[in-house]
Amino acid sequence: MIQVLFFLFLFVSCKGETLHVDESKMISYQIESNSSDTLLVEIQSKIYNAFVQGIMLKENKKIVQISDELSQLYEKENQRLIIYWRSYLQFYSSILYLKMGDEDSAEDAVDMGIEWLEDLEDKNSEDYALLAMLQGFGIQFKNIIKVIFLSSEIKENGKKAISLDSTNLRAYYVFASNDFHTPEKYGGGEKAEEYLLKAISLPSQKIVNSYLPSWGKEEAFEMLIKLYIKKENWDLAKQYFQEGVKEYPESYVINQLASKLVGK
Amino acid sequence: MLHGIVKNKQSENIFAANVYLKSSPQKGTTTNFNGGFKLNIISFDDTLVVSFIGYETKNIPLSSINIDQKGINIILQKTSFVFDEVVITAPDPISEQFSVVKIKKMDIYFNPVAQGDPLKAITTLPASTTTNETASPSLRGSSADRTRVVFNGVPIYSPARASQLNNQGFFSLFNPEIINRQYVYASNPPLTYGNSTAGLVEIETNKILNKNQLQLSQTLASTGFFLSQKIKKSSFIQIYGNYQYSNVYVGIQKKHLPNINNFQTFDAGINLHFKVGKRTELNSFTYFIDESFNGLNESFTYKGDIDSEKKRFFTVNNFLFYSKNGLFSINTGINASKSGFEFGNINSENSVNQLYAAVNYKWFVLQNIDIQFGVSYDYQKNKFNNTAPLFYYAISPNSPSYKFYTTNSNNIVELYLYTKWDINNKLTFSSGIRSNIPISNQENYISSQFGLKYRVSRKQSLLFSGGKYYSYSVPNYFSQKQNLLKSYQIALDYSYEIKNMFIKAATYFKNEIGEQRTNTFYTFDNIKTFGVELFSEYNFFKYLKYTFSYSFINQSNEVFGKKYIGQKDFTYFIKTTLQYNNPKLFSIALTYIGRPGTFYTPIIDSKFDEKTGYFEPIFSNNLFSSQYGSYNRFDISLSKYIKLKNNAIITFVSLNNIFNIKNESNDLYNFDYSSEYFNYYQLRTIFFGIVWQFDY
Repeated sequence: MIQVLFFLFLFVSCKGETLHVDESKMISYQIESNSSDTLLVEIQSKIYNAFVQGIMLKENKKIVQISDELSQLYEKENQRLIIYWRSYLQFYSSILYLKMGDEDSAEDAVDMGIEWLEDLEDKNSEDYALLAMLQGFGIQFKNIIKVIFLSSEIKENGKKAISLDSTNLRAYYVFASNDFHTPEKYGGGEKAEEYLLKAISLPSQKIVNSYLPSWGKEEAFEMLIKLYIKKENWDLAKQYFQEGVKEYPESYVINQLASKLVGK
Repeated sequence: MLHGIVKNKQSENIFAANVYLKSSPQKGTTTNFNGGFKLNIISFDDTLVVSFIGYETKNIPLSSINIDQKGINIILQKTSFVFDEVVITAPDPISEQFSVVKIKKMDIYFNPVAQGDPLKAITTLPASTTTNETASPSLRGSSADRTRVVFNGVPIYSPARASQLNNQGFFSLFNPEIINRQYVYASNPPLTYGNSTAGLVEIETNKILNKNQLQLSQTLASTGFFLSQKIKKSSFIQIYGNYQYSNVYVGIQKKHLPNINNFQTFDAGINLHFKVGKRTELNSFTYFIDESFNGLNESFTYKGDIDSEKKRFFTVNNFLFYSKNGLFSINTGINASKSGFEFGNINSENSVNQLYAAVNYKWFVLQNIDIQFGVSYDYQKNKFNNTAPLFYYAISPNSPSYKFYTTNSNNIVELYLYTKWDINNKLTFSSGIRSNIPISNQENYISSQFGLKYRVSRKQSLLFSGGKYYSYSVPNYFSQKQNLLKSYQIALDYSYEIKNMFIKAATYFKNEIGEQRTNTFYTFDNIKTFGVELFSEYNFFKYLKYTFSYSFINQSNEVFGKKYIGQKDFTYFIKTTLQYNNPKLFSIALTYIGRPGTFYTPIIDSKFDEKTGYFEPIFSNNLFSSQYGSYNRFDISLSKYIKLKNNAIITFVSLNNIFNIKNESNDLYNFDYSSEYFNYYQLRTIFFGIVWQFDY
């Protein structure tokens, strides 16, 4: 298989936790209230929480509700940032469908998100990073011939994300993620370490802004530790596990790796 | 309190932009949907900072702002593309949107008809109207002579391996491992290049090397190697060589290769790519091939051995410099070849020397307007040293012949200007103009074109294009001259992509003017072609892919001022493939190609000529009144990929023309032309091999 088909690791990854910033390095930021944009405040967390609720209740009512609200808001305000969040939501919506055993709807959901992002003109670094992530997730539904072509497209979008903002950790994370999940025979596994190290060295956001994305750093820690475990480089695995836990003490995805490091 | 609005250059409000003071970013704010913000100011000895993703951060000293005014307008500028150490994204050609198809390296490998050959990969497109099983592309009914193959910005004339009288030239000169992508312009070749009156295939080599790799290959008829080696972070070298031989290939299936006695080919190539600093790239590709062939050939009533050989060398070198607002490039090429063939009393020696240089500048004038302009110089010199039959039908070694020596050269200097304008997100307009600077007695000409692309949606688009084009014919054995050719073209292309399906349709008309001679008797002129094309690709059941291509071509031409049916007048031209690709198991592909036969002029009678001792054929006055039998060919190919750590093994086998169908290629006659029979295209043949890859 060209690509590891199931990106289900993302089920617990890429989570929309409450805005997390490297407090020691970054300035905190007070957001003044705006009028009609309350839906978009902490939207990343709202989507993730709706997703978690969906998983627990085995239904997608809440996530559909946010999707409708975003759709209405977009019709009213026509802001491209809303497209970003609608696409981000499609990602979680797709996972939910997958968990509910509806593969066709899961494919449609992620395809929809990809289409919206692809239609965006003058995509910025965040758009490309999310697009590459969605494409990476959506690859599991595709015909094998398409997978081969999509794989290089994902790589290209990851590169574009980095080139447009070399300080965007999500760009490095997505690029590394694609590389991590591409088998070596298809040119994978060469850049993941370098790009994950770069990702964890960067702040989640340069200036704290609750409208904008902040995902990726926790996931980058998780993947880096997994990479070192895979390589059986236990010293580095433990080092980055400790760093990850220090920065994200309540992270499930990082803490769950502890069992693999015990006694190593 | 400072208030204002943040917009971009297009006066669109920017939502969620960060607005803060440099000294105290923690007291910042964000813009609302209208781009508006309010910010408390304590000291004027500070700087206002406004930032947003994809835009340059703006720093405005508060001292420069009149705080009493109603509000300030802040315009953010989009971040320009930054070339850093991570990314080398080759920019698409300015005309990219007006190409009909973009073929990537993997498309070549996954195309069962291509058999790993970059130019053969075009064969499955409905626009491909190659009928003689060679790799020389013929697009939309035009002769291969009018279609150009451009390699890294340099035209490569006669891109197939030794094309002689006997239909060799099955493969092209290009190795897929060095190729990044190919653009196919089925009609309306972009005027960033010249000397094409049909279509154009633009080939680009790799800009990035993903891994160091050594490949060794062994097939039924060849032994080869390919080495890819990174030199520095963004520089690499690729070297390859192949030796082809016929002993086993022909030996085990001589019955199905009746016209081949033996062949030998040695070829080698080297591709170097250097990135110097952040803005400069150099690429150098050099290739050498030495071919020889011995077989049987028939022409009129003579049947005998044919010997041919060809040595060819070419080098293509590119310099690219990326400035903030443009791309400057210099493309140069040198080509030299020497070829010869002997058949009966024909002995032909041909040497070709070519030099090409072009200087181009692609200027990103505005966000939605690009302009490219440049100048090109194309020098060609052909020498023919021929012994030809005195009587065209008397070809035996003892028949009378005469010698002639011809040299001709041509200098083509052209200037061009190409513009692309993205009118909005749905509509793009392009125009091109190209004129020669006449040298000696050359006629002055101006080629011009337009293109309009309408994107109905991201997955659906229409392309309308047209133009007037000039080119020179490539000299051959039958005509040593370089005639000026002209064409008028108009085309409408449509493409639509849905979930697992891709559909393309096209209709076009062209009038190709100018004398072109491809055999002893006729000079074609005024070829009018109208065509309709349909193509669909369907992916299903995870591992299956089906493609179907249909073309209708209505063609007429003029010979000696009289109108006749065109050689490529086809009511149908079908190419269809069914592929199963499962990396865990194997890949298998079935291919069918079918069309009516091409048209030819029959010999209806003969008279005995005492001088030569041969019968002289008498051709029908009704030219192209006979048609070869319909062409049908089924192929099957099977491959298996096995990965073992850093090693991989690929095995493959292909069976061509499974049912051994005798597809007629040309007409042959007995000694007095009273009985007609035919030569055939490739009969059933088997080919297999193994490739070992080692990543290091």
